[in-house]
Amino acid sequence: MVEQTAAVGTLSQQQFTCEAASLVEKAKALGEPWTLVEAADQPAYLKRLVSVRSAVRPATDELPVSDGVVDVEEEPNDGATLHSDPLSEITLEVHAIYSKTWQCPVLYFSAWSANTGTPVSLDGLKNAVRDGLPDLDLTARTAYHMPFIAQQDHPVLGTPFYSIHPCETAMLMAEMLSNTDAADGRYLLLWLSLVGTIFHPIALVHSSYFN
Amino acid sequence: MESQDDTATNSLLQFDPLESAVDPTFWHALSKKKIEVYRLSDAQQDISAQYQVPAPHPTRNAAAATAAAATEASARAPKNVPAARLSFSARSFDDVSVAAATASCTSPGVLRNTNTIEEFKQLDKTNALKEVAERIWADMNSGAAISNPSLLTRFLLVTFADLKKYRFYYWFAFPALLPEEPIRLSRAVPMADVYSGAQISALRESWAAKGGALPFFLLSETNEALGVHELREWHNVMQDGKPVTVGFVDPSSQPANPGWPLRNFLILLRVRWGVTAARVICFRESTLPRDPCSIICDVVLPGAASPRGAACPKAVGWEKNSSGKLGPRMADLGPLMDPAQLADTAVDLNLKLMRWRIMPSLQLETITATRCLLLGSGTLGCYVARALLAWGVRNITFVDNGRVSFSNPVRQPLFRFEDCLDGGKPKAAAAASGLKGVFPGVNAVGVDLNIPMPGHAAATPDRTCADADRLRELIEAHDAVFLLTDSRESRWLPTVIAASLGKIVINSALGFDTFLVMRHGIVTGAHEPSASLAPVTSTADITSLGCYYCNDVVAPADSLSDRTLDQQCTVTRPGLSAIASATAVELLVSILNHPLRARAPAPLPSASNNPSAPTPSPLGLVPHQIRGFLTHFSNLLITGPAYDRCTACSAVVLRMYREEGAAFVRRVVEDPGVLEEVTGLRAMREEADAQDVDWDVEEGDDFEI
Repeated sequence: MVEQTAAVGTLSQQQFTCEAASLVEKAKALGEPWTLVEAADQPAYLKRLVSVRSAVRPATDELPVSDGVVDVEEEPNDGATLHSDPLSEITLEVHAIYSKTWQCPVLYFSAWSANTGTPVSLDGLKNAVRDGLPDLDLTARTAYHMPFIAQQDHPVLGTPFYSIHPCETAMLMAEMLSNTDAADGRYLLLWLSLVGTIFHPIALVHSSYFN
Repeated sequence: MESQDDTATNSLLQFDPLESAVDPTFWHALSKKKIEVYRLSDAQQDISAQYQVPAPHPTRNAAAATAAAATEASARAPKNVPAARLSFSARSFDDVSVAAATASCTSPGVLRNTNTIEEFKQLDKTNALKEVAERIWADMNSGAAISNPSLLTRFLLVTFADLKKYRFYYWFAFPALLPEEPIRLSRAVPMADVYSGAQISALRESWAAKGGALPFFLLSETNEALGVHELREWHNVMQDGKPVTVGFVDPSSQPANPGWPLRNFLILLRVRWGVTAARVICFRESTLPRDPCSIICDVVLPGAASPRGAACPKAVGWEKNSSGKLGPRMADLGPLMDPAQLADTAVDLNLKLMRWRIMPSLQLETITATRCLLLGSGTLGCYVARALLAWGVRNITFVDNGRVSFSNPVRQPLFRFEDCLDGGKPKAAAAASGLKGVFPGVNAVGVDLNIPMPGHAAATPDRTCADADRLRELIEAHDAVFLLTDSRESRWLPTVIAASLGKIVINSALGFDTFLVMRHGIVTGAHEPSASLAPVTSTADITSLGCYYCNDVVAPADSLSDRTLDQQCTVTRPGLSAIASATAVELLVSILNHPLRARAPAPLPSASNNPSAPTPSPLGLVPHQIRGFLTHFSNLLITGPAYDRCTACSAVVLRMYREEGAAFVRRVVEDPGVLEEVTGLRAMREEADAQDVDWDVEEGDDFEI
């Protein structure tokens, strides 16, 4: 019998499920909104929503109509409405989904205007994330095999998401695991802190998760 | 500690309005409902929304913030406070009774989806709001709102779903009934200022024990504990003479103001139980053990209460849009739902992959911006267009004068059988339409045009002039011209025009098992007379690269009339065209990525020998001519200089074209001998004949299509 050994830098479905459950437990204790989304006949995946303050107001959320057409009669001004100046926010939704093909987790994400649900483009997201996504110069990006982003249908939801292609994941994880003490059972955490760098300075997991 | 009492005594109580937060799944679900269930019905539909205590906010420290806000004594709210949100998602369409598994409160609501934008605009908004307000009022009076207090938060949503453009126009209203007289606030303080840690812990536990989603509740107080009770327990909990203490789940993060849901609750208290003063706990606690975030508002409800059963009070509550005006909003789901936009993004990201992974210096934007004119829409034209599309080129114009015939589709990949019926569609337009079928984001145009050719007299001289002018306009409007026609002489006029305008020209022609792909040199001025026919050994000597006609000593003339059918038609190995076309497009891309663009020097003949030798630019060499031999499955790179007696790109021809324009074209079309005359080719040949030189003048072309 040939003994099946997992390739270095990969993760089994079972390990993924196990580590995902313990990550959710930890997140709960830390008050962070990681959840495990489970549906019948579908693989479970990790999900987190992040609110990102946007410096740019979404351009499209007003109805471009000539004045007067959509007027309501002026509402009675009772003075009891607080005039607040709400922040313009973007909701970033991040999923970690296990890929059987690549034997590793894959990061899916999507972003939209928190008010209207209008999707935000990659560049829009980049502008909204304070400090911007890391603007490594392209040479460095190529040399270091930075992950690249594609648009794909979500394997469970079937709607378009951005995803980070997993073709380099095992290679990067093998290197990361070999350089980490006590890496046992922390594949998912290490991977999230790695791929999460594309949202810097937003952290998908922080140091408390490793305690 | 409570010195703010004085400054804030009996100020007008202001409520933090709700902000709608719609996630894209709501719009997906609405589209589905509209198509499968509602169809053309604009009947009112029941939907729901969720709100909950605010998420932890890093800078929020309730005690400090409340004090700061109170001393500001300003009518405006402090900045940078997250909005109180009512959230909508695909779950909003679920049956309310099965929803709400999480610790959030559910608001019932009414959806009014209109069928046209006009109906959306013209819907009587005032009346629509009034109808919902009346239902809230009725629920207060009937007591329904006591057994199910979420009815106090009933909302209204008016929508129009433009499913062609994937745009959703919408306007929310969160109706709040107005009291007879404005409600006053005697003080707003952090909960920890009023209650002990033990009391607050008991409150959290008691609220969680009630299911963690009770939106409005009553409170009983002892020294050690605060207990949560449902509204229907009013008479058991409230004791005469004791102050009334109530609570509600508050989605607001404002340090000194309660959230919007409290408004109707206070009206209920006034109407049902005659409450004139109350202590309100604005409940903002999460299940996590962290410092309390809730605030306490002591409120006074002056004025006479509307008697039960009286007419519904006035209501407010239309949401403002992002510019702070009363008006609808619009969500644009095109990037997620429009297949054309999805294709656009996917293609773009796919091309960027090359840059991210292999070649950071790749000039993708330059390639995308290059407008390409394809003269000839046959097998070469079709394959060239496909390869350009793959590189991200977005503007492609086809020129042809033929119609699609039954033999075409198998070799010419933009055509289908249907294009051949009824005499065949015009080729250029059919190719453009075929290309759009591959990728709708491309700007592809087909132009039906006869290219004037030396030796082929047109129907009328005027026709020739008009066609020549039209061709010039087309070349002017593009950056690169591909010569892909099926005869040698049809390439002459575009060569002349493109040379005079300094455009990039890529020329491709096919033999049976050989092909030519070449770029034309950019004319830098008058060619120096040189011994051009001598073999080139160093490209440093070449100031200008030649064009298709630079090696000729005869003018192009009618090469088609005397041919047999097999010579006139495409008689080439079928794979050859795809190879030549791909080579032609890659040559253009190499030109565009070279810093000198079309002036890039051509490689020395020896350079082609070693494919692993380093190349001066990232994409490699930018050859002048590539001759491919399918017999040997090999290519040969050739570099040839411009010829000062060239019938197409020599200074004299370009000068005559510049000076005479279409009239010069007409003369050449009628008599190609003009070209040999003006360039001096004829004189040279006569001289040579006199010296009995053996000219190797070919019968026809090596290359044809």
